[in-house]
Amino acid sequence: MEEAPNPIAGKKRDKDDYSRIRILVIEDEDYIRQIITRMLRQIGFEHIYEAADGTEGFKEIMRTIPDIILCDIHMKPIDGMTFLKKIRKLGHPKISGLPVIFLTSDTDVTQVKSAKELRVDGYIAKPVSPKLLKQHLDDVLERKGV
Amino acid sequence: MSTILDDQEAEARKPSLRQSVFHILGNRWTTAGAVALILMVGGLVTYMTHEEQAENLSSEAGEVLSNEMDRFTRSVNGLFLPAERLHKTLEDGQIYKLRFDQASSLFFGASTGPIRRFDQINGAYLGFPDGRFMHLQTLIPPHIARHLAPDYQASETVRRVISDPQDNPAGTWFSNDRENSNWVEVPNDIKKDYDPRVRPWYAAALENPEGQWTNPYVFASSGQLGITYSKPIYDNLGTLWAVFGVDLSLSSLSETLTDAQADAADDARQDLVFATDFEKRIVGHPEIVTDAAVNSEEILDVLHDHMREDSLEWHVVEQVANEDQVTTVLFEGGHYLAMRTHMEARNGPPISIFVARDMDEILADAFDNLHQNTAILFAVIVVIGVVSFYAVKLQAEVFARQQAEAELLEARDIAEAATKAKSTFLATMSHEIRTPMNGVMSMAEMLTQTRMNAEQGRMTKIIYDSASALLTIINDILDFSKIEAGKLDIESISFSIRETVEGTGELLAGRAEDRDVGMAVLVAPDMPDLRLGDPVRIRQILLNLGGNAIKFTEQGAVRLDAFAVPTPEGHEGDAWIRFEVTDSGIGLTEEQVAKLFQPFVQADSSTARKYGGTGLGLSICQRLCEMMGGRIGVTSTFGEGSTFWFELPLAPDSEGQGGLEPPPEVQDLGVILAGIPEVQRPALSAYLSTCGVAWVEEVADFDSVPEHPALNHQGPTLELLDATLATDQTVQSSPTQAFPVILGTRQTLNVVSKEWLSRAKTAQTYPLPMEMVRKIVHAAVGLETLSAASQIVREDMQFSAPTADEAAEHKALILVAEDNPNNQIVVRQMLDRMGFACEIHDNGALALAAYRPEAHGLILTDFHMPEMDGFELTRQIRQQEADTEARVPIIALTADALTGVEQECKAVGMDGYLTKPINSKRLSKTLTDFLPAALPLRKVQEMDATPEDEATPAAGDAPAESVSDKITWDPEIFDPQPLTDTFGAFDGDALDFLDSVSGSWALKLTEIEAATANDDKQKLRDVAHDLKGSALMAGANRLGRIASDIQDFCDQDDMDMAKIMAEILPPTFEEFQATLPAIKALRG
Repeated sequence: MEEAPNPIAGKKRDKDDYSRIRILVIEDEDYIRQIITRMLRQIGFEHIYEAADGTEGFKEIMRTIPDIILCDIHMKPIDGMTFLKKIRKLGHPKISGLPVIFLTSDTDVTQVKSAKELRVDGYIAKPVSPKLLKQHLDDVLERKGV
Repeated sequence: MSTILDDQEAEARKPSLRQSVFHILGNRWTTAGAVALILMVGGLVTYMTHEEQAENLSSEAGEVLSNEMDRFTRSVNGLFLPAERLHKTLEDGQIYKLRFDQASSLFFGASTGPIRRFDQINGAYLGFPDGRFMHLQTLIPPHIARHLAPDYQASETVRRVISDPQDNPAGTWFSNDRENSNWVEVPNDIKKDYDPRVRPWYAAALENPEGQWTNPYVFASSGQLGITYSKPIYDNLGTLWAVFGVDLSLSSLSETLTDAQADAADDARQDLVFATDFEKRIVGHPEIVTDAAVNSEEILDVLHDHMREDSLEWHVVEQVANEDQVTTVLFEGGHYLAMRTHMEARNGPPISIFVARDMDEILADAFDNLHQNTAILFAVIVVIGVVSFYAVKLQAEVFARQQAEAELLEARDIAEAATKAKSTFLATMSHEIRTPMNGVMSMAEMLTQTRMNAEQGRMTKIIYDSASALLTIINDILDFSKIEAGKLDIESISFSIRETVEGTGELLAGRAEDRDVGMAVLVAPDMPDLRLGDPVRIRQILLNLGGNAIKFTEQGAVRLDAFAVPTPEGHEGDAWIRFEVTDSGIGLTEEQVAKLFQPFVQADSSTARKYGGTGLGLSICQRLCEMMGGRIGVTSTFGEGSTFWFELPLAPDSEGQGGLEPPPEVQDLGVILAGIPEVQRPALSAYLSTCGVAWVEEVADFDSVPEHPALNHQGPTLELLDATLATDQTVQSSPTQAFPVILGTRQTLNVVSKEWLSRAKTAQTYPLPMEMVRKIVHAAVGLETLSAASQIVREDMQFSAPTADEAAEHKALILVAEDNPNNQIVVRQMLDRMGFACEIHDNGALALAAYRPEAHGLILTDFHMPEMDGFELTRQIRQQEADTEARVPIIALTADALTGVEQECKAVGMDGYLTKPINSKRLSKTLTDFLPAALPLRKVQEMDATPEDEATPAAGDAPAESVSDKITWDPEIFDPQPLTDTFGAFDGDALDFLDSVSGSWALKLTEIEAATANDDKQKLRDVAHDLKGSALMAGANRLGRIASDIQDFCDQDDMDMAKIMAEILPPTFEEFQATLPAIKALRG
């Protein structure tokens, strides 16, 4: 699949410069979303978008086309798994290949497996520390060449 | 959780209907009541049956009596019938048409037969209105009998004829002469006149032409009691011709009754039967048959005799009022059935016949039977009742029991389900709790990295520690519920007992120190170290037991031991290891020991208050031991301490790793243990001996011995002294040739004098791992070098890394070859915290390609990787270096902590190796040793909540600054570049244009909304097309792109997606408007 050129991908990004990366946080628990957002700000993210469930998250993706997505799995009405399936199936060149990291307390093997089948890019088990989050993000961003 | 249990309990306690029934039936009083009820009902039924039966018997007896009466009546009737028949014969023979002499012939002829045949008929006669009279009789008056033959009287009759009342009013008597059957006149001595017309029977007959019986009276002719029947005979014209009369003797009435009684059935023979006249005088009675009545007075007396007021007869006559009806007569306490029949009503004489039967006597047998039957009936009812009761009771009991069993099973199922639900709930809950806990902990962690004053720092630490403690408890619960739910798997991998136990000891030492408790570890050196088992679980058990031991020890020490034991009885496997955690704590009573391993139970409730904890730890340990095929236990003396132990079958992983022979240099080494706490000595002695040290001297302090013990030993001396002895004074007194090493806790080491620290070869914290003892010993004899300052505090982890370029500049960049992403993360994390920059590649080939000798100061490489492994990488690099002086340090990362690895590493040209999981201390030490150039580059970690200033742009990344680089918002919202390009600069004109064009977007959004609502695809597409053009031209990239998407989706006929895109237009526009003030501020 042809990857659309990222507006900032052309420039070589400094390893610790997250200021130009658009990140979308999909998490239904408001205060957890705030915690994650705060962590992201501390890590250095400046363009943080938020959504409270899969539906809202999908719209926000269509709207913002983020560089990376942090997503909870257990959400209502649309859970993370369904959301990811929708993203991957969409066939939108800018969207279906977006890096998605699941951020969840559910580490059930079958859950992880089905997430892998949906080509999830990361899987972070809660509780997550800022460092761990940073590592995962770095890892994914590096692999995806963002 | 408690709600679940409560409900369940309530359910279990709810009494069922069956149980109630069972309960009621089981009650003794209920049984008594039931028996009483059965007796009552039985009695009542029996009584009623009895009464009914008695009634039946009575009416039966009455019927029998009626029948008897009929019989008596018939007999008596038979007595009186001949009189009527005779009259009828005369009337039928039209006697009234005959002359007097002819009539007399007929009369005497017709009468003789009956009179002779029927005893009771004494005579028959005709009396004429003119006074004539003819009479045939068996009773012969004495004045006549005198003239007859003596035997005449018995069977013969005499005749009296008054044919001429005027002339011969006394009449003429005739008797039979027997020889010729002629009637001859009998002389009449006493001429007594007789006029039939004045006789009572004559008058009575005239009064009742149908025939009339007189009342009983004494016959004038015979003096006997008799009764007369009289009936007139009329001629054809209805004129009275004569009155017919018949005399009946009542003595025959009694005879008749007696005869009839004799003919009666057996049960009627005892009946009383008698006849009375209308004046209630008895005229017939079996008892008077034999009485020879002499005269009329006598007879009347006899009759009256039977009518005394105390006689049964009197009572019967008095009490039986109605005719032909059975009446019960009471007499002298007895019951009699009695009835009366009036003969007159049947054209008989004015006589009543009475029959009485003694009920009691006659019913006696019947009642005997009845009573017997009643008794049997009663017994049967009672028996049936009781049997039924017990049958019902038994049935109820059985049912109740079955029900109870069913309920028990159900309760068990519910309980099991509840347990499972509880475990699942706990597992879920624990996960859920961990999420917010994460928030608390990560925020606290981040806070500690900001600038704070000391007080704030302490508070933050408390938050973090509390959260950690809570997380531990949660993990406990999670573990427990996992075990309970059967979700916990036990691994069997190769691991080192020594590393596991010593590592745990190291962890626990910090905690022990906080409580001023000593901590020692002794892993027996004489056994194979590598075993197959689950080190994570063993560590977990050790941590738990050790943590408890520290928690419950106020003063003294805690010791961890591991050694081989024989296979315990009843267990399998031949390589058993016993782990012991011994404390000098409060100890346990026997009762406490007994319930120690139960979940949620602590030694006593005060324990929970004082020491906290979930009470799950030991229970978890026990389950884990069981799952690993081992056992767990405790020996304890209350007040003196406890030893918690567990034994596990842990097979050696490979063929025996024979301990290395100690180098010969060690043999001469003397070791002095000075002031070493007692708890540490066994481990130190054992390890020293394993290292080949033969000479060991222990002293409490140097003041207590006359001279320094080192002076007693020929050869090198190793001095292991406790930090408390490392004072300025000891520096002076210590001989110079000794090799001093300071041992202590972090706290005691912290106060060691600077002089000592500079003099000591190394300072180590308790407990010493065997490897450290070996290193110290080897160092003491010059086989090894010790890095001077072994870290007391982890100051080595307080850094952040420089940028890669910065490090590369100083040849301090670390090149890492590691294929496992997780390990990559770990390595990156550790290096980052230690302040080293690194560059990570997935395999040796990539690393080799990236290797720049001028930039990379150290290489960390995994052994096994795809493409190119660590050995090959090392060979290649060493080959590159072959012609140069350069030699980059290469350190191996390996999971194979087998003996011989070191040699292998060295053989291939590596400088060292680190075992996985990577020990951060060893990593730190290795880096310090091999990459000193990187140390000055480390940045002291300082993170602040304020956004990082942009004053530190990455070196070599400085393109020409454009307007786009100045913005602080997402350029997708608005990129000033297109307008800058168009207007030459982002100036007022550009902003005016932006204002006007963006003003039109609001209208377009409204149009799009309307088109969406109307499903007007064409309109939607057109408006979106317009919006796209103006937005992209102005630099509102996101708005323009979304409009473009709407257009595309419309073209693809995907209205659903088009609508979704249309929905996100308004927030995007709002976003733009919110950014507008900042955009205007950009104006250059």
